[in-house]
Amino acid sequence: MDTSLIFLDVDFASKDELFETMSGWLFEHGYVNDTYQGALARRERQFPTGLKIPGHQLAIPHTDSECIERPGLVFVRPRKPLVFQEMCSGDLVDAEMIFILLVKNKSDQMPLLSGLMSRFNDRALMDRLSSEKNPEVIAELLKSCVKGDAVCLS
Amino acid sequence: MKKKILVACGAGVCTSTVALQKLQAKMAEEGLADQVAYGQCSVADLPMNAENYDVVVTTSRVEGDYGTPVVFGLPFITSIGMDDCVDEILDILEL
Repeated sequence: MDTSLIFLDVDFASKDELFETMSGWLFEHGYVNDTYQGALARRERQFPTGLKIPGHQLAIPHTDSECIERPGLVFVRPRKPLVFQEMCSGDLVDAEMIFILLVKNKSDQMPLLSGLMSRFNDRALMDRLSSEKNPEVIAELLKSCVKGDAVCLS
Repeated sequence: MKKKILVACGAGVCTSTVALQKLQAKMAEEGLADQVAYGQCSVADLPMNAENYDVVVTTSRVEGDYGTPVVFGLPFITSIGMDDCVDEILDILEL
Protein backbone atom coordinates (compact mmCIF):
# COMPACT_ATOMS: atom_id res chain seq x y z
CA MET A 1 0.00 0.00 0.00
CA ASP A 2 1.39 3.36 -1.05
CA THR A 3 1.44 5.74 1.89
CA SER A 4 3.41 8.55 0.27
CA LEU A 5 0.40 10.91 0.18
CA ILE A 6 -0.46 10.45 3.84
CA PHE A 7 0.92 13.01 6.29
CA LEU A 8 0.24 12.46 9.99
CA ASP A 9 0.94 14.67 13.00
CA VAL A 10 2.62 17.40 11.00
CA ASP A 11 3.14 20.81 12.59
CA PHE A 12 1.56 23.62 10.62
CA ALA A 13 1.06 27.08 12.11
CA SER A 14 -1.81 27.86 9.76
CA LYS A 15 -3.68 26.88 6.65
CA ASP A 16 -1.35 29.16 4.67
CA GLU A 17 1.68 27.26 5.92
CA LEU A 18 -0.01 23.97 5.05
CA PHE A 19 -0.68 25.22 1.52
CA GLU A 20 2.87 26.47 1.11
CA THR A 21 4.52 23.33 2.41
CA MET A 22 2.24 20.89 0.62
CA SER A 23 2.36 22.80 -2.67
CA GLY A 24 6.15 22.67 -2.55
CA TRP A 25 6.14 18.95 -1.84
CA LEU A 26 3.57 18.20 -4.54
CA PHE A 27 5.51 20.29 -7.06
CA GLU A 28 8.78 18.52 -6.26
CA HIS A 29 7.09 15.15 -6.66
CA GLY A 30 5.49 16.00 -9.99
CA TYR A 31 1.84 16.14 -8.89
CA VAL A 32 1.26 19.83 -9.66
CA ASN A 33 2.76 22.61 -11.75
CA ASP A 34 4.13 25.93 -10.54
CA THR A 35 0.75 27.67 -10.74
CA TYR A 36 -0.79 25.36 -8.16
CA GLN A 37 0.09 27.14 -4.91
CA GLY A 38 -1.27 30.51 -5.99
CA ALA A 39 -4.36 28.97 -7.55
CA LEU A 40 -5.08 26.84 -4.49
CA ALA A 41 -4.83 29.80 -2.09
CA ARG A 42 -6.99 32.02 -4.32
CA ARG A 43 -9.63 29.33 -4.68
CA GLU A 44 -9.77 28.75 -0.93
CA ARG A 45 -10.19 32.49 -0.27
CA GLN A 46 -12.93 32.79 -2.86
CA PHE A 47 -14.62 29.44 -2.33
CA PRO A 48 -13.79 27.96 1.08
CA THR A 49 -13.79 24.16 1.45
CA GLY A 50 -14.19 23.57 5.18
CA LEU A 51 -16.88 21.08 6.24
CA LYS A 52 -18.51 20.18 9.55
CA ILE A 53 -19.74 16.64 10.00
CA PRO A 54 -20.94 15.04 13.24
CA GLY A 55 -17.94 14.78 15.56
CA HIS A 56 -15.39 16.08 13.07
CA GLN A 57 -14.34 19.11 11.11
CA LEU A 58 -12.38 18.86 7.90
CA ALA A 59 -11.48 20.59 4.66
CA ILE A 60 -11.22 19.47 1.05
CA PRO A 61 -9.01 22.09 -0.64
CA HIS A 62 -8.80 21.79 -4.41
CA THR A 63 -8.32 23.92 -7.49
CA ASP A 64 -8.52 23.88 -11.26
CA SER A 65 -7.39 20.81 -13.20
CA GLU A 66 -4.97 22.94 -15.24
CA CYS A 67 -2.68 23.09 -12.19
CA ILE A 68 -2.58 19.31 -11.72
CA GLU A 69 -0.03 17.05 -13.40
CA ARG A 70 -0.84 13.79 -11.63
CA PRO A 71 -4.13 12.94 -9.93
CA GLY A 72 -4.27 11.87 -6.32
CA LEU A 73 -5.77 12.19 -2.87
CA VAL A 74 -3.56 13.69 -0.18
CA PHE A 75 -4.52 13.08 3.44
CA VAL A 76 -3.08 15.47 6.02
CA ARG A 77 -3.72 15.22 9.76
CA PRO A 78 -2.02 18.19 11.38
CA ARG A 79 -0.90 18.06 15.01
CA LYS A 80 -3.24 20.93 15.78
CA PRO A 81 -6.44 21.72 13.85
CA LEU A 82 -6.12 24.42 11.19
CA VAL A 83 -8.67 27.19 10.74
CA PHE A 84 -10.60 27.05 7.48
CA GLN A 85 -13.90 28.59 6.47
CA GLU A 86 -16.94 26.46 5.84
CA MET A 87 -18.21 25.98 2.33
CA CYS A 88 -21.36 28.05 1.72
CA SER A 89 -21.64 29.64 5.18
CA GLY A 90 -18.09 30.96 5.60
CA ASP A 91 -18.24 29.98 9.30
CA LEU A 92 -14.92 29.05 10.89
CA VAL A 93 -13.96 25.39 10.86
CA ASP A 94 -11.15 23.82 12.94
CA ALA A 95 -10.05 21.27 10.40
CA GLU A 96 -8.43 18.21 11.99
CA MET A 97 -8.30 16.31 8.70
CA ILE A 98 -7.49 17.83 5.34
CA PHE A 99 -8.18 15.94 2.12
CA ILE A 100 -6.33 17.66 -0.69
CA LEU A 101 -8.01 16.67 -3.95
CA LEU A 102 -5.78 16.59 -7.01
CA VAL A 103 -8.36 16.40 -9.77
CA LYS A 104 -6.95 16.17 -13.26
CA ASN A 105 -9.88 14.69 -15.13
CA LYS A 106 -13.28 14.90 -13.50
CA SER A 107 -14.88 11.94 -15.25
CA ASP A 108 -12.00 9.60 -14.40
CA GLN A 109 -11.99 10.78 -10.83
CA MET A 110 -15.66 10.68 -10.01
CA PRO A 111 -15.35 7.36 -8.18
CA LEU A 112 -12.77 8.93 -5.88
CA LEU A 113 -14.67 12.16 -5.27
CA SER A 114 -18.13 10.74 -4.84
CA GLY A 115 -16.77 7.72 -2.97
CA LEU A 116 -14.94 9.91 -0.49
CA MET A 117 -17.75 12.40 -0.06
CA SER A 118 -20.39 9.73 0.33
CA ARG A 119 -18.49 8.48 3.39
CA PHE A 120 -18.37 11.77 5.28
CA ASN A 121 -21.47 10.63 7.18
CA ASP A 122 -19.83 7.32 8.14
CA ARG A 123 -19.00 8.16 11.74
CA ALA A 124 -16.98 5.00 12.42
CA LEU A 125 -14.81 5.57 9.36
CA MET A 126 -14.26 9.24 10.14
CA ASP A 127 -13.42 8.41 13.79
CA ARG A 128 -10.86 5.91 12.55
CA LEU A 129 -9.33 8.31 10.01
CA SER A 130 -8.98 10.95 12.72
CA SER A 131 -7.20 8.66 15.20
CA GLU A 132 -5.48 5.81 13.32
CA LYS A 133 -1.70 5.92 13.71
CA ASN A 134 -0.70 3.49 10.99
CA PRO A 135 -0.48 5.16 7.56
CA GLU A 136 -0.95 1.78 5.87
CA VAL A 137 -4.34 1.40 7.52
CA ILE A 138 -5.33 4.93 6.51
CA ALA A 139 -4.31 4.23 2.93
CA GLU A 140 -6.47 1.07 3.01
CA LEU A 141 -9.43 2.96 4.47
CA LEU A 142 -9.17 5.71 1.87
CA LYS A 143 -8.94 3.13 -0.86
CA SER A 144 -12.02 1.41 0.49
CA CYS A 145 -13.94 4.66 0.07
CA VAL A 146 -13.53 4.40 -3.64
CA LYS A 147 -16.02 2.11 -5.25
CA GLY A 148 -14.70 -0.18 -7.93
CA ASP A 149 -11.17 0.33 -9.14
CA ALA A 150 -9.07 2.87 -7.34
CA VAL A 151 -8.70 5.06 -10.39
CA CYS A 152 -6.45 7.68 -8.97
CA LEU A 153 -5.14 6.56 -5.62
CA SER A 154 -1.65 6.54 -7.00
CA MET B 1 -41.79 20.17 -20.03
CA LYS B 2 -38.84 19.08 -17.90
CA LYS B 3 -37.83 21.15 -14.89
CA LYS B 4 -34.28 22.41 -15.15
CA ILE B 5 -31.73 22.30 -12.33
CA LEU B 6 -28.39 24.09 -12.56
CA VAL B 7 -25.65 22.80 -10.23
CA ALA B 8 -22.74 25.16 -9.56
CA CYS B 9 -19.53 25.27 -7.55
CA GLY B 10 -16.34 27.32 -7.54
CA ALA B 11 -14.83 25.85 -10.68
CA GLY B 12 -17.84 23.90 -11.90
CA VAL B 13 -15.81 20.70 -11.65
CA CYS B 14 -15.38 19.12 -8.27
CA THR B 15 -18.08 19.53 -5.65
CA SER B 16 -20.77 20.36 -8.22
CA THR B 17 -20.07 17.04 -9.95
CA VAL B 18 -20.56 15.18 -6.68
CA ALA B 19 -23.71 17.18 -5.87
CA LEU B 20 -25.08 16.56 -9.34
CA GLN B 21 -24.48 12.84 -9.11
CA LYS B 22 -26.18 12.54 -5.73
CA LEU B 23 -29.07 14.72 -6.83
CA GLN B 24 -29.61 12.54 -9.90
CA ALA B 25 -29.65 9.45 -7.68
CA LYS B 26 -32.18 11.06 -5.34
CA MET B 27 -34.43 12.10 -8.23
CA ALA B 28 -34.31 8.54 -9.55
CA GLU B 29 -35.32 7.28 -6.09
CA GLU B 30 -38.27 9.67 -6.11
CA GLY B 31 -39.28 8.38 -9.53
CA LEU B 32 -38.71 11.80 -11.06
CA ALA B 33 -35.74 11.03 -13.29
CA ASP B 34 -37.76 11.74 -16.45
CA GLN B 35 -39.08 15.05 -15.23
CA VAL B 36 -35.84 16.93 -14.64
CA ALA B 37 -32.89 18.06 -16.74
CA TYR B 38 -29.54 19.27 -15.42
CA GLY B 39 -26.84 21.75 -16.17
CA GLN B 40 -23.51 22.37 -14.47
CA CYS B 41 -21.34 25.47 -14.35
CA SER B 42 -18.95 27.53 -12.25
CA VAL B 43 -20.25 30.18 -9.89
CA ALA B 44 -18.63 32.80 -12.13
CA ASP B 45 -20.85 31.66 -14.99
CA LEU B 46 -24.07 31.72 -12.95
CA PRO B 47 -25.18 35.22 -14.03
CA MET B 48 -25.35 34.24 -17.68
CA ASN B 49 -26.80 30.75 -17.15
CA ALA B 50 -29.17 30.96 -14.18
CA GLU B 51 -32.10 32.55 -15.97
CA ASN B 52 -32.49 29.47 -18.16
CA TYR B 53 -33.10 27.23 -15.14
CA ASP B 54 -35.87 26.72 -12.56
CA VAL B 55 -33.53 26.34 -9.60
CA VAL B 56 -29.83 26.76 -8.87
CA VAL B 57 -28.11 24.35 -6.46
CA THR B 58 -24.72 25.61 -5.34
CA THR B 59 -22.01 24.29 -3.04
CA SER B 60 -20.34 27.70 -2.88
CA ARG B 61 -21.32 30.98 -1.38
CA VAL B 62 -23.08 33.13 -3.93
CA GLU B 63 -24.20 36.70 -3.78
CA GLY B 64 -26.58 38.53 -6.00
CA ASP B 65 -30.01 37.84 -7.38
CA TYR B 66 -30.08 35.71 -10.51
CA GLY B 67 -33.85 35.80 -10.81
CA THR B 68 -33.78 32.05 -10.06
CA PRO B 69 -34.18 30.52 -6.58
CA VAL B 70 -30.89 29.33 -5.04
CA VAL B 71 -30.58 26.27 -2.78
CA PHE B 72 -27.35 25.59 -0.87
CA GLY B 73 -26.26 22.08 -1.74
CA LEU B 74 -23.80 21.44 1.08
CA PRO B 75 -25.88 18.41 2.24
CA PHE B 76 -24.96 16.66 -1.01
CA ILE B 77 -21.32 16.87 0.03
CA THR B 78 -21.70 15.95 3.71
CA SER B 79 -24.71 13.63 3.19
CA ILE B 80 -26.20 15.33 6.26
CA GLY B 81 -29.67 16.80 5.79
CA MET B 82 -29.76 15.66 2.19
CA ASP B 83 -33.45 14.68 2.25
CA ASP B 84 -34.48 18.13 3.51
CA CYS B 85 -32.41 19.70 0.77
CA VAL B 86 -34.08 17.50 -1.86
CA ASP B 87 -37.51 18.46 -0.44
CA GLU B 88 -36.61 22.13 -0.72
CA ILE B 89 -35.64 21.64 -4.37
CA LEU B 90 -38.81 19.66 -5.11
CA ASP B 91 -40.93 22.39 -3.49
CA ILE B 92 -39.36 25.03 -5.70
CA LEU B 93 -39.89 22.86 -8.76
CA GLU B 94 -43.44 22.04 -7.64
CA LEU B 95 -42.82 18.31 -8.10
